[in-house]
Amino acid sequence: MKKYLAFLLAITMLASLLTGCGGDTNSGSGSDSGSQNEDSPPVEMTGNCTVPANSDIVVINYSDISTFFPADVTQASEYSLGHLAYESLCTFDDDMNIQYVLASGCEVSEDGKDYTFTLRKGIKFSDGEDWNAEACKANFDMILDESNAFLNVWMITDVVESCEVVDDYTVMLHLFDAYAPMLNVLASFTGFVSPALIAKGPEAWKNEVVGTGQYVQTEYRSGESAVYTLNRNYWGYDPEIAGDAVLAPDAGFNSITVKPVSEEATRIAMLISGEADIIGSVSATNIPTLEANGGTITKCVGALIAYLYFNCQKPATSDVRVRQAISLAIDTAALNDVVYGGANQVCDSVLSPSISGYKSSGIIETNLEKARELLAEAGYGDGLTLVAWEENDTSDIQRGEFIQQQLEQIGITLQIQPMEGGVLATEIGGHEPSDPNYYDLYIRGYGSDTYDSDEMLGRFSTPAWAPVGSNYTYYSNAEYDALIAEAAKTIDPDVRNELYSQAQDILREDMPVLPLLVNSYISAYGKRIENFNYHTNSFYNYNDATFVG
Amino acid sequence: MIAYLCKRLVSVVCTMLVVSIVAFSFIHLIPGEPARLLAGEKAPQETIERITEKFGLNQPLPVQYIKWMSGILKGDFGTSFRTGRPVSEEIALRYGNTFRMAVIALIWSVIVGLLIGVWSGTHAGKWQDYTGITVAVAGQAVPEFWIGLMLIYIFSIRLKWLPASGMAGWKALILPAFTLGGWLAATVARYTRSSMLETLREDYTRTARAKGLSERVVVWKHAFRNSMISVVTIVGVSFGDLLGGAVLIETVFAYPGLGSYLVDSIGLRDYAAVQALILIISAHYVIINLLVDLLYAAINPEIRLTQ
Amino acid sequence: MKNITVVETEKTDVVTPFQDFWRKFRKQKTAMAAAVFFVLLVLIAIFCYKIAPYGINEYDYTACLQGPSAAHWFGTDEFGRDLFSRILCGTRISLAVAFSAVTLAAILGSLIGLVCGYVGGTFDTAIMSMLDVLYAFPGLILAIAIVAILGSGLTNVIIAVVIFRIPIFARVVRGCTLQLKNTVYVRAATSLGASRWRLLVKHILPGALPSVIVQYSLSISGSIMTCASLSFLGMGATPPTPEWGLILSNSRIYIYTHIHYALYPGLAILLTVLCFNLLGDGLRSALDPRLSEQ
Repeated sequence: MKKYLAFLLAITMLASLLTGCGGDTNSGSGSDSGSQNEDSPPVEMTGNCTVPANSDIVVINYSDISTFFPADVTQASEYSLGHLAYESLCTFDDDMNIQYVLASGCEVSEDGKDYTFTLRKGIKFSDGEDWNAEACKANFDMILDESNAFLNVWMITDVVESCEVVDDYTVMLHLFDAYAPMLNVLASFTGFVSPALIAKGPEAWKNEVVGTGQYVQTEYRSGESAVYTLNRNYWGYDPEIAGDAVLAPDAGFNSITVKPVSEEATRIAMLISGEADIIGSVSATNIPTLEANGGTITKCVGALIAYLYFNCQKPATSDVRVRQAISLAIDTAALNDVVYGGANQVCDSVLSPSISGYKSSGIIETNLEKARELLAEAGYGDGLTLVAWEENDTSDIQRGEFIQQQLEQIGITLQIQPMEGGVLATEIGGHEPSDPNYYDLYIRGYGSDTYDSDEMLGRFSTPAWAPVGSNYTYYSNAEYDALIAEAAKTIDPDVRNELYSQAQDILREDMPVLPLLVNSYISAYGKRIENFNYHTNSFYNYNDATFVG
Repeated sequence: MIAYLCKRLVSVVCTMLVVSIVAFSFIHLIPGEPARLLAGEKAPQETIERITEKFGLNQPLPVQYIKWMSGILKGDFGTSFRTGRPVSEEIALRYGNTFRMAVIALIWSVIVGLLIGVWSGTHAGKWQDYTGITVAVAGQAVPEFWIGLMLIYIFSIRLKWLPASGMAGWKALILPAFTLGGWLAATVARYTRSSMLETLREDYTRTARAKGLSERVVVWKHAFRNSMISVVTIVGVSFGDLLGGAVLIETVFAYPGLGSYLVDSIGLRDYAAVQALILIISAHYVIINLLVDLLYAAINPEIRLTQ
Repeated sequence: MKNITVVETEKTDVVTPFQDFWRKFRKQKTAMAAAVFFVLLVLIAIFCYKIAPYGINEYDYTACLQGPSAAHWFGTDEFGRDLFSRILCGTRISLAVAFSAVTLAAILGSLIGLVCGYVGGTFDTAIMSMLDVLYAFPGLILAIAIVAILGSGLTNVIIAVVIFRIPIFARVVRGCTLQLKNTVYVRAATSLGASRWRLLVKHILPGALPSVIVQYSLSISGSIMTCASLSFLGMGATPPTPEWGLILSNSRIYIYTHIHYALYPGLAILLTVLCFNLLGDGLRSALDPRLSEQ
């Protein structure tokens, strides 16, 4: 009796598991057909677009995509996807100058407080709504409505007071105060959504993607894939609307399927096997393998810099000599070779070259003798123990270990506390700067959104002390603060650059922060694609590449 | 039996209630502000405060718990902070993936484990037995995240036979499912073997042999069926371990399932997602334990009386 | 008078329990091999820093990621550190974590099990159902949860392992206590007026000991695996600790070009876990033939 019961139970368990499995398998196969795009609509050869109908590519990202709504986008991977479906008033061209997109021009008032945008005519959202002054105002009204509590519109809400419709295709933005990098802020914003979507309310904002962009999101499976299909009627292909900014008729791909894969080894295997056409986040160590297996490497020096922040409110690191000694002891070129296979770039400024206002201050030459002298002068000749915080990400940890090894040479014992990202985010700025339990050094990357010095240099001013802003050095210098405040209001680019040049000199002198390396983005692409590369702002440039099948 | 069933059901409900409190307090105990993580480190404090308020995270914890529980009773597991979509939708998608992998792992490991176990058990003391037992003992000691890497190296990188990623059709499931089922196969093999040895010594098998039944009938009809009981138990108990093991396997094979979703959601402090995941994973465990207990009670009335 | 009879029975017992155990244990070849390997592991754990050819953090940027050679038996890692030395010294970490955690869990769990089993009633039900809740979570997920709250680091890994091993020991000991409570000799001791405490420690605990020892050995291998798994997920040891799971985790991006980096730490885990599993099986056969499956 009991044998049969047991057997029966085993069978029913298996059967129930199998039926459950069957149902899932069916729904799962949807993603496979999605990636192949067998069910994409027949190509209508309207307009000028001549992109081959079979150019369906698969792109592998490092991280998952969780939101597409422009006002909530915070991750780099989300930004780059957002730009497929959405467009802003302006963007950056490859020399990091402002290039108009949904606007065709802009006039700034004398006092720098009013921006009048002429909007481009003839553009439609993917749901058929027209892009016009009302649509633009609807977007700004939504962004400026604080009750929406968006994640990433504070750069706009800090500056813009209101948006006014002047006529059908003209809008005026009223600023609280003159703000020179206003267009940079708008260029770094992902884009504008259809007024019909805005009207649907917050529930729909999270789920629907309706923009004016070159691609339309046709499928999304959370954690698995997102499919973007080319909008062949995209205004950018029409010279009458786009004017000089018109795209080549064959620019782009019929569809782009984006999948998150966190393991690098898996990404590489997928490129080599042809499952993927483009993979991101490649380490230098794997470049030879990829090249030997038919992959082509493309690189981009971005605006993400690894910084070593000195906490200027802690006893040892408040001494400029200690900060200078540490800066002289760390061989950043060796760091680049050992940890990053030489792929990154040694810094010669707190800014990366792509940022407006950048000025080279020269690379700091390693000089251990001078470093030891400075330390001895500061009274730490017999050794010094410092606490450094960093994120517990594998390559961050390697970087930390290397710096630890370097500082050992001048008698500094570095106690590294790698922290889980979530804990770190709360701990940073969660202490009094001089708290003994707080870090002496903080090693972390920082990427620019606006590509402007106001963001990248302004963060070392006193008002930007964490947690209000991202001044993790707690550096405070009245002269520096005055320069930053003045530059933010200065519209004339030459005068501004001069102010920022002075600011960079002060930072080099006082050394509250040591820029380590400018991060390079490395990607690889397979044999079905040619001439693939990055935009200067480290987003993929799908429009210059060609599909060769 | 019905009284026993009711008693057990009540205890399951109580356990799940406690589990819900544990799940809720667990995620709120983890240091780290969800709003800060969502908005990124550049975001000013003001934005953070507004987001905290929007998610109701500034309310007292008991209020948050009651809101969450009353939502669950209505079938609403909450909204993911990260994506703004209902957690139930996010989980449903990944549940299918993990479930598919776990079931394939379960099926192959039970079949292979039984075969090895029977083979070893019927050849006790011979080389077949030693081979079987060596494979099984080693199988129990292999770190699954390591063997996963080694299999990727051999089959995806060197031989290029199988994809390394988990989401490229049925072929892609082979490596993860194989890795996941390894431990269970070894365990099933050992249990089957020992229970075979025991049964083959029993009087009724001897009688069967004495009656002149062929060895095949003795082994498969008598001994094997009897070993099924212990195998069912071990499989039932191990299903939860499979879900746990999936955390590692899904990380190695970049497979979008429940395990990797749990690790990611903890990292992002996606409260609703973590709470729901823990609740669901524990529910599996508790329900399977209940089934195993009920099976035992059905077999052995003594248990009903003693408990 | 009473004492005399007791002494006499003990004298007639020529074979002590330990001798009996040793006789049974020695007969098992695999268990003996495991025991020898275990002694070796302990020796390595004690002397690893003395016998390792290189320091664990001795970097050499001119010898990064080299394959196995005469100078570096297991090759080198991305900083040119000797993997053989690191893995050797990792033995101490794995064993220390596992032994301290399991010992603590065994002591606490046994105490809880003893008291619950002996006292019984509502107290027993309350404590045991609290522990049962811990059973509602798969082991690794529970460990992940605990480490997430406490933060990463080996100390917290130990705490996590202790917490989820306690119920296992408590259950085992409680079961034994329930059985032994009603045996003739415990009842006899009770009627002779032995104190409760003496009863538990002198009479019941020794009876439960074999099961605890077997569980102890098996828990060690489980804990080594948990520690490595947590470190692999980035929740355990922090660099530059040469913990095996952590080394394995760091090796992942080099798997295409330098497979040796991932191979050896995994083998170290495999062999150590295997050793404790076999040891546990051997102990089970020798201590408690009823539980034996071999």
